[in-house]
Amino acid sequence: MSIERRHYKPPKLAEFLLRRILPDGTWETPTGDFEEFYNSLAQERGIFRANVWYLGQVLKLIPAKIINTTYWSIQMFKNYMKVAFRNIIRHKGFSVINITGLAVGMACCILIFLWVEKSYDQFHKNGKNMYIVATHIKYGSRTSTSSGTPSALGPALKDEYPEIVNSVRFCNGPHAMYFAYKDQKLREEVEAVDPSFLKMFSFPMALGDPETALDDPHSLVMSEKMAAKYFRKENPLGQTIRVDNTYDFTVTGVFEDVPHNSILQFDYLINIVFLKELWTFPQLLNRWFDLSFTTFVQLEHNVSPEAFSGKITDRINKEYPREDVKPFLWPFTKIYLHRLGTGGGRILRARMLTMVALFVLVIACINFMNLTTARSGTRAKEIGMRKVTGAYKIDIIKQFFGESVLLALLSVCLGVVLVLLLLPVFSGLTGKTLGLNISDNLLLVFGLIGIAVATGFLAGSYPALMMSSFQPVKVLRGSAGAGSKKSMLRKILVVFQFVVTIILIIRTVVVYEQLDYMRNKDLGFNRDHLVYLPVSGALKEHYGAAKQELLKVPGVSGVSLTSRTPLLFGSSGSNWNWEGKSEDTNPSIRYFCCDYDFVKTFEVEMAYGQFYSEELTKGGSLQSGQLVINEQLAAVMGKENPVGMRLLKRDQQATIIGVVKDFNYWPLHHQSGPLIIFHKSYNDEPHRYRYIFARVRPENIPQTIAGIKEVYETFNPEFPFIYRFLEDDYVGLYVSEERTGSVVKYFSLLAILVSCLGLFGLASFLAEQRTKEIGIRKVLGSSVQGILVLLSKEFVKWVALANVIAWPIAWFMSRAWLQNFAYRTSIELWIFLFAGVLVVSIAVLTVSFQSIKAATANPIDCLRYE
Amino acid sequence: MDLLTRAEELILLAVWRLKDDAYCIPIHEQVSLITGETLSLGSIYMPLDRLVKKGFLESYLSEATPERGGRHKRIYRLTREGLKALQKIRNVQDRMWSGIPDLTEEG
Repeated sequence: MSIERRHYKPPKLAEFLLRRILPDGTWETPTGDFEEFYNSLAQERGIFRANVWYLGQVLKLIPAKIINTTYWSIQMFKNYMKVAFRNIIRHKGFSVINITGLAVGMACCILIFLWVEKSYDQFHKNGKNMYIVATHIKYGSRTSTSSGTPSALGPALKDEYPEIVNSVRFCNGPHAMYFAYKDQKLREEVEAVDPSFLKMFSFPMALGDPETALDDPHSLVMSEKMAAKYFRKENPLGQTIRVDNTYDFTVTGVFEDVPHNSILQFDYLINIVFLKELWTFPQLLNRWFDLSFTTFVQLEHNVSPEAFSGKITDRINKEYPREDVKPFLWPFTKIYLHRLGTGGGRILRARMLTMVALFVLVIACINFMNLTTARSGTRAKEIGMRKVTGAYKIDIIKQFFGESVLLALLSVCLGVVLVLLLLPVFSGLTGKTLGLNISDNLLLVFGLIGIAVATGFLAGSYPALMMSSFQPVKVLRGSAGAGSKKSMLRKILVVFQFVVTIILIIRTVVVYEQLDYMRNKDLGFNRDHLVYLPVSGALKEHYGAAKQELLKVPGVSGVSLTSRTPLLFGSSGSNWNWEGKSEDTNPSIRYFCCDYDFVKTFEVEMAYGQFYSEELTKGGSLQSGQLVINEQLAAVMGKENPVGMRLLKRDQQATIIGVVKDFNYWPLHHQSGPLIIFHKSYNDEPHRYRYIFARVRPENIPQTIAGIKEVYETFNPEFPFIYRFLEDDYVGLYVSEERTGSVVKYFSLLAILVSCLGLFGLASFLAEQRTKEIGIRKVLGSSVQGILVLLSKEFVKWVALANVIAWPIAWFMSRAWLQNFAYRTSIELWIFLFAGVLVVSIAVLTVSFQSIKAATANPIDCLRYE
Repeated sequence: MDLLTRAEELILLAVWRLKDDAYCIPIHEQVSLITGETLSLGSIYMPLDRLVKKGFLESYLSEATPERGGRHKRIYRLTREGLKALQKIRNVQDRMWSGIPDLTEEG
């Protein structure tokens, strides 16, 4: 009976699975068995049943396979872990260096990422479509960028263009106002905005309706903190606060305190319309030619800001054509990090700091690599054994990657602990309250784990790849290990490490030099012992009398009224003409207004001519058309002594009667440029004056202040007495540089520390390796010094090389940083020498600590074992 | 006392009977026949492996046939220890059952 028996083949996929499931090298017989069984089943019961059976068998095997694999990988993992921990414990010194080094690097990264948060202004719902209207303004051949826009622009855009969802003007115009509620009298900073401000920006309201809160010109919206200050437990809504002893404001809303990561910081908001009343200036908000209001707009989703900028230009030119002003839109969310219209701004500092942190991390990684490769000799036998008992290269690679990732993860944990310990210190350093809130910050958590794994891989790559290719025969025979070929790479890494360290040190010193320079630079006037009072209220009507009374206070040596303080000369103008002016010069000139005693009180020197004085007025020779300028302006005019020349602007003209020597009226980042000093009589035009400056004698300052207070209160009883020392204003001026300086300083210290840890580890390892050599040398008569030199020579050579590489780099970096300042210190040679000597001596100390130990050891101890 | 388990006994006997054709499929067939139960193929491999480890069985690869997709059979054979173990369990069994009449329920 010969029936043609068909041969059935099981499904390919199922068979493939079966093969994968079966242990390596054993699949042949079972698949054969299965196929045979399948075949007979197919003959008897049909192909479908056979398929079901085959698949069923395969599926049944899967859980077993998974359990089996997991079991064995856990076994192997346990073994790897055991070996890893044994290694950590056996080489305590190395492990401590490795783990702390990496942990410090990690901690640096975390701290910096916490500080350089990019979360500024990200909480606004409309944030993506919000822009600030900024302008490029041309002064002759120079262009500057400002956020000033005409007051009429905002409403015009909103009314006339469908692309604009909303527009808001923002003006800190009133600066300070005096609030009185019951017995509390305080000076407060108030911002004036359009009522739609609360709709466009997302500052959540705790009380009141954001739609209508600011509708009334005398409505006041305040922060929760301030509401608590004034009203304690009372309901703030509907309360009345008397402002400047003249206006009654009603509290119509309370917003939650503005978060610290907002670039707009304010405690009080009022309707911008009120400014017309305050300054008795009905046309204030309908002007097209001044540029003193900040305008924010919200565009429709699909409108391109670039294209719309053109429309803004057209709109302004329609009212008041001017060539020199070019408006553009700048994304609101970018303002904090990116300076308007340019690539600069805080982002530069953020990048610098991130780089510093990464540097420290890289140094730690290099340490890790160096130490692990240096130690590879001690692990070589283990790898040989593993390979002999059947480990593949990939297993070894996995083991070493795993080991370094494990160490890196340990370091993260330690790093996080370090961060938690250091946060208060670091917060103090940066002046920002920082918190490591892991539950809030998933990105950071993933970031940390990512950093750990990446660092682990980076650090483990060299040993993993190098050691996995050891030949077991050689290793076990004892001839492989840390060869000299590899020590070249190690040296390069050490050099790199020290290059980075030296750069950091030089940068730190330069930052401090510049700070020192700025603190001590001669400003052109004497800023010490100058007290100033911001002026409001009735005092304005009695300037003359008040000044006389103040001069009578013992301890006051001079009094002067001014329009501004010397750190904030605000208003400026251009388009002045003079004889012999060339076409392309059109300087932007600052304006400043003061009384006769300015030069005497501030101790400013005259270069030419004379300053305004009572005698000039009495003699009838002081007319309104007379001016005092500074040397900068004289230089721009191209005349050394321009006294007697005339300055013209539109219908005004004036004669220069004097030139003052340049004094700095800006922070030293900026050049204090051309200046015109006006004089107006405070009896005729008291609104021009905002500050009273008094020079006091350094003795008995509290008494002098009390005397000044008494005078103030007789003239201005309704307003609180507020005074400041000018020098205090300078304290906070370079705070950003100071913070950067101190952060960079500590990070440089860390870099040095970590580098030296690495060097220490490496030196001790090499000394250990050469124990026998040292022993023999000593037996043959070598001196301790000789051996010291032998062991240290190498390192010193490489660190010296690092200096040579680092100096030019550091020089370029420092120079680039100093470009931020108009007045800068010079980068002197001693800084480089200092950094070099410092690093070399630390390196020598570190290395010789080990070397001395090795050199003074008794040769018997190291030669005994063979 | 290291006696064979019932399953091991079954398999060893199947191998003994099948002589030169004792590979997985016929063994499975035999065992299913004797016990009257349908067993999975997998449940044969485990005791076979165990018996090899214990030294009661040895195995070698034999010819490949087309219905196996051209793959070799693994033929099992009793070792001397395997034979001894079978004899021992047989003796124990005989003694255990001797003198016992038919098992019926007693009232």
